[in-house]
Parts: sequence; structure tokens; C-alpha cells
Amino acid sequence: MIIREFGVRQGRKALAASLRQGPACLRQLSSLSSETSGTPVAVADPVLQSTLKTSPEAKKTPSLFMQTAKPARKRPVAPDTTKQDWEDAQALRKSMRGVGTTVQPVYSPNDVFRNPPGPKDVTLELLMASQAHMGHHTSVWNPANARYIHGIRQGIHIISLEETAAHLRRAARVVEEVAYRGGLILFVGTRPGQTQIVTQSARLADACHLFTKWTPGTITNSDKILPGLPMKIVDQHDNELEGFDQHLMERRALVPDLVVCLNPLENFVMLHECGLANIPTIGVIDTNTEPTWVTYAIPANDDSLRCLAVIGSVLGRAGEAGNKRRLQDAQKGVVAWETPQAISTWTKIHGKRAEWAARAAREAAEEQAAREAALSGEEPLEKEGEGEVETEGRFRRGQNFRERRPPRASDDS
Amino acid sequence: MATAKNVSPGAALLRSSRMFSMPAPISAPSDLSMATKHKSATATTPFPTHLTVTTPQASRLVGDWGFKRPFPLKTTTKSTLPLVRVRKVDSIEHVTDFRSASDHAITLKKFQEMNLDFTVPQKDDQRPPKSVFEEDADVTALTPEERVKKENIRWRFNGPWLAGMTDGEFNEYLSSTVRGKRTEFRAYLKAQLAADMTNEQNQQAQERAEEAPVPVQSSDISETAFTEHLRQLRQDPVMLFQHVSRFLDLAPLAPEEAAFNRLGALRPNKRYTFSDSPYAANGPPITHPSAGLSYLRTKNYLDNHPIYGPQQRHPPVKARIVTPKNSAANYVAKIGVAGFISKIPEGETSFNFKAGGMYNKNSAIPGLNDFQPDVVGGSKVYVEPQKVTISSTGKVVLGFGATDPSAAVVQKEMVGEGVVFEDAVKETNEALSAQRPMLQRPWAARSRSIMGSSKTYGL
Repeated sequence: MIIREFGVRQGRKALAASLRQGPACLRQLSSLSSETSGTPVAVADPVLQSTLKTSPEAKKTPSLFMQTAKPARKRPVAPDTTKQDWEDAQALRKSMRGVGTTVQPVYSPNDVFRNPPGPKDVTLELLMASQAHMGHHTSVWNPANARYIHGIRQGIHIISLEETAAHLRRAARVVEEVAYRGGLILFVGTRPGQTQIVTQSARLADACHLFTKWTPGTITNSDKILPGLPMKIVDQHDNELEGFDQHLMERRALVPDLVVCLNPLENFVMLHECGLANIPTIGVIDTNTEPTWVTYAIPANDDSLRCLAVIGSVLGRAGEAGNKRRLQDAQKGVVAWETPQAISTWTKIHGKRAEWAARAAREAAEEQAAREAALSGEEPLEKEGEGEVETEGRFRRGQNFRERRPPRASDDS
Repeated sequence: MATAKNVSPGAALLRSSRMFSMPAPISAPSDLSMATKHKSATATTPFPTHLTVTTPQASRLVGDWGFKRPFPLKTTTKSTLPLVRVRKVDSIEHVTDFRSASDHAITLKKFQEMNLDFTVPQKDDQRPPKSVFEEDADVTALTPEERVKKENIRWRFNGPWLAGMTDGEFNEYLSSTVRGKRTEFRAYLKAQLAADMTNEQNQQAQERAEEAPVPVQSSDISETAFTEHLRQLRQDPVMLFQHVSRFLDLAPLAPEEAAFNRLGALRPNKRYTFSDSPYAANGPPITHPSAGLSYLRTKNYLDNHPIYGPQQRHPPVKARIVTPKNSAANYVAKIGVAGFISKIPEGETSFNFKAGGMYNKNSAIPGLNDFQPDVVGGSKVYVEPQKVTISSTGKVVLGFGATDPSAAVVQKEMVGEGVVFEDAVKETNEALSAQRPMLQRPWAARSRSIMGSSKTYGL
């Protein structure tokens, strides 16, 4: 302290110009060292002190700025208590942790995408909050929906929340079982704003989605509309299998095993095609929609994106649960589905063909050996050579068998 | 949820939902002059008819207002406050019919900022106005006796206000409501006559210091006596109207004084009590006389200013000059105070400034008598809102006066339109420094030129 005061009295300018600027001005220290060497200098930081001492070969040109600039800081350098302060703050935080209120989670429109509700989360409160009960204007109703309608309010039909919840749970069960049996599910929502909903559902359920126009004939005329689209063959653990290229080339396009439609009113053609192809459908049926268009109706508001997001995520979660259960059972060796007819037929024919080819090859080899033996007249080495050929042939045959006729195989897009 | 005991859980939920608690729209204000005048169809109505709905910001950005379908973002995300009135939740055209409700909602907000109390309408402005929530004016639940006793302060009547009915309405009222009540009315008159006779008997007995006789019953009155009473009543229209209006619970009427004077001359020994109900002249209001806009009982409180201390006057309000005066077309200027078009105060004020007026000590308000095209946002003037009442048609009638100039200056400074205090402080300081120049602090107060900072390394 005394030294510092002495410095202030004796060489205020030099002292101020040199060090009160703090460590940010270290670059200037070298130019000042020659001038300030004789002046007693107060240095709080030992690093700084060492820097000062170890710079004898500094440049002689004095910095104009540092000579004329006023000191930026008037107060003396305080001891650094950052660490202690931080530790004190942590201790205080720890002791006060149990005090005060807990912040309740508030509603956010994005919650349904961040944390999608599943079939277990379906409550009447959730459905009402997501406007599932609001039907259409009473004059545009379809009387077939009378059994889902609770009453009339504000000029619109009110859909019974109990009906919605029951039908939604049933549809979720359908989706789960279809997923469990390895079925191909398609989520369709073609109105503006439904893209995020159908893609999320499809991602959850490991399914397909459609948010643009349904091309008419995609199911009934798929040979013309969907030729040569990529496909793959998977086993019961969902691992892709090799060696089915020939089959995939001559195979017909895939059709879904279940279609979930969020806006049946605009997708009548698709639902009709599903009906022709015996594909079960699940649809959100508002009070103005014909409920017989779909196999499993979910009476709900099809205009509210919030309602559709809840329904889509519930069905997506159901599909997710079904897939999970299917893979778990496959680990235990339980497989609840059968290889499709087309694949099993193809593998059977292909296996037969390979067998014939192998036999023909073996016979040709035997003939060749016999001919050679007849020519040379030697007998004893025959067995070993034949054994080698046999081993090779068996090996090849076995490989074909494993690959092309898997224990269980399915197709997926 | 007392009502939702015996219903299904979903129905109970629905009954407690927001959409189910939306009130049905009230009937729109009937303005007969609309038939002959050209008025905008989208003009703000005198009072709102639909509930105003709002939504949180996060939901508003995705168009979720809690109704059947998301609202279009283009029209609902432009305004500062999310305010919407829904006229149809769903229509045949598959759209939700909604409009912005900013007009009424923000007008209400502005009105409540003025801290005005609704007052009972007055014929003359001599006495200070009285709040509608004072004990003697706030009558809502009344017994039949009180209905008669407080007929001069009541504001709700079962019958119509005859002076406000058209001829057709009156005939319709006669045929539909009145005509079938003949027998009832005779019984009522008989009961009244019996009560009067009992009163008279009692009075006479009291004068003679006798026991009170048996009260007269309606059945004791003979038909001839009753017919005689009816004949007398026919000669006394004021009395007859009193009976009729009490029987039908008609709203009070305020006949002209000249008519009463004539009647008094005809029957010099008869004393009439005239209705001095505040609602007799223009009819009773269609709502509670506060219309639910304000529940304050008085505006007699003191405003405090952070620097100047307690203020004599409430902060004045900036009013918009909607239409300047047009002498050629004989239009008076229209001034909008907190969203309500109000009448210009009468008398010698700056609102009635006439160039060359002899006694006019006020100056003209710019923009009031002439349109000023160069004023951005239109001409404004600070006014002092004084009293507010609800008219019989449900309109807000706001009375204001010229404000005190100093109050206007204080308010301008509060809202950042003027600098009075800072100027005064600067002036004082300058005067001080002129007197004692050495008082200046040397270099600490002087603004220092910093050549370089720690960020630029002095470069």
C-alpha cells in the first residue's frame, strides 16, 4: 500500500499509464518498461510483474496513446474473489433449493409434437381441450352420425366426448395390432397444415405418409402408376435381406395393410379404392361426413389441427407400441405373421431351380469323372475328388437356402 | 358443477367449457334513422352485442382460438392485442364468422383509464351529479310496496315507456297486452278504492278520537259505488294515469309543465304529485344505468404527481377532433373522448371561440374550426372529462369541459410530450453558474475524451 501511494505521489502519470489499465493493455508494457524501470510500481499480479522484469529488449518508441490517455480505472485492483463468490452462490442455491414455488408447466401448442400423447393419455379433458367435440353447422349434418352427436350448441352439433374417446381407443388398438403383425400402415392428411401431423404419426409408427393429393388409381392401377419403385425384403428383426433382386424386379407394387385418413371428405377416391382392395381404413368422421366410407370411424372435429394432431399422435404411438412388441417377440422367437404368399412361392420355385441346377452340375461332374476314369483307368482318387465337389456344392446350396428362403420374410417400402 | 350432477362426465365437462359459457348475443341497437341516413355498415355500434374472445400469444400464432377451426393468420395476427368476436362458430359455407373486437374492447380499456363514475342523468346541471351506485339510486331487487314507493328512482319497469313508442307499437301493445287485463284492472281499482276508503275512515275516526272502524274490503263496495268512482276517475286523467301506470308498471312520463298548469287551473283544490324520475324525460335505459362499464362511486380523489405532489385536477384526456366545425353546412365540431363522440361544452369556453368575441378570454383551439391537414394523426385537444351517463338507448353520453392549462402541461410532461421540469432545472443551473462560475467541478464532471478502450487495445 505504501509503495502504491508513493508511486501516486511521485510519478502519477507514469504509473497510471503503465498498469492501471489492467491486463488488457499488456501489449503496451514493453514500450513503457524502459521509462518506468526506475519508478516504484505497484503490481497486483505476479504474472504481470514477471512480464515487466523479463522484457529488457523492448522497443524504445514510446506509445503516444498510452502517454496521453487518462487512466481508465480509478480504484485500486481488488483481490479476485470470483471463485469464492461462485462457491458461495452455489452453497446459497443449495440451501434455498427447497424454498419458494414450483413453476407449473403451461400449455404450448407445440407440446403435442414435442411429447406426443399415446392411447393411454386419451382423456375427455384432452379431447375437449383440443376441440374434438365441435361438429359442423347443424344444417350440413349427415344423419348417419346421429349416434355420435351429443347435442346442439352455438348453432353447431356437439360430438359426444365419450364416443370420440371410445372410438379413438378402438382405432389405436387396430393400429397397434396391424403394426404387431408387420402390416404396412399409411397415414393420409391432405389438407393444408396436416403435413406435420401425418409425418409425425408415420415416423412414430414406422409407417408411410401422404400429405399431397392422392393419385387416383394408386391402389387399383398400381402397375401403371407405381412401377419400379424401390422395395426391400426384411426378416423378423427388420434386417434387410439380400438376394431377392430378381423377385423385387418382377414383383407388383405394394399396397398398404391399413390406411388412416384424417380428412375422409377430400379422399373419397382413396377410401373407395381401399374398399375395392379390401384394405381396412380408419377415418376422422365429422358430423357432415359419411361414416360408412371408412371401416373404423373416429367421430371428431376434422377441421381443428389441434384435434387432428392429438388423434394422429395417439395412433402413431399405438403403431410404435405394436412395432416394439413385434420386435421384442421376435427376439424370443415368437413371430405372429406369415411370409407373404408371393415371396414364399417365389422362394420355393427358386429353391427347386437351384436344386435342379446343382443336381445337373453334380451329374455332369460325375459323368466327366467317369469318362476320365474310363480313359485313364485309375480308380482310387475318385472319392476324394468327389468329396470336394460335394462339399462345394452343399456349401453353395446351403448359402442359397439361408438367404433366399429366410425363416420369415416380409416386405417393406 | 351443481347442475352437472346427473349427466355423463363428458357432458359435465362440456357444460363447464368456455364455448358453452359464451352468452347469446344481445339485440343490436335499433336506430330508426339508419333507414334514411347513409351510415357505414362496419361502423362501431354504440354498444357491443357479442362476447369478445382472446387467446394466448403462442396459440394465436398457430391460429388456435378455441373454436372449430384455426382462424386465418393473415387477419388475426396483425393487431397488437388478440381480440375477436365470433358471430357464428360454423356456417353453411364451412367458415367461422368472426370479426375484430378491438373497437369495443379498447374503448372499454380507454374508458376505464379515465376513472369516471356513471351518474344519474340530470335535467339541470346545477347540483353535482350523483353516482348510480349510491344507496338511493341503486335499486335492483324490489318488493311490490317498494316498487310503488321508489317509482321515481327506479330504472327498470315491466311496462314500456309510452312516450317512446310509435303509433303502431302502441296499438300493438294495447291489443296484445292491455286489452286482456280488463277484469284484473277492475279488481285492482276496487282494491285501491277500498284502501282509499279505509284511509279516509281511519282519518275521520282519528279526528273524532274514536276507535278505528273495520277496514273496507273490495267485496264491500257496491257496483254502483264503484261505477261512480270510475266516472270520477275519468274526469281526472292524472289520477287515472297514475292507476294505469302502476297497474301496468309503465315507465314514468314527464309531461310539459304548461299542461300541468292548465290542469291545476281546472281543479284548483286538487294537488298532484308529478314524477321527477331522472328517466321520465328520455325514457329508462335498456341496461343498468352503469352498463357495467365502471363500478366506481365517485371521482373525488386526489391524484399525486411524483414531482409536483398532489394535483387539484385529474389528468386531462387527449381527445380527437373527429370533424371540425362547418358553419356553411351547419355542423358542430365532433370530438371523440376515449372513443366516444361527445358534445362540445356550451358557454364561454375555448370550444366556442368566436373571432372578435367581446368577452372571450380563451384562445381558439387549433383544428376545431378548421381542418388542419399538416397535423400527423389529426388534431387533438386536451379535455377534462366531467360526467358520464347511459342514455335510454344504451349509448354512453360523456360530458367534458375545457381543461386547466397547467394540468394539461403536467399531463403532457407525464406522457413525454413536453419537458417542463428538466427545462426549469437547466435554467436554474445556468443561472447559478452564471453567478458563480468557480462552482463548476473541474475535470470529473467534464466529459473526458477516451482515446482507446480496453477492447481496442488503445488503437
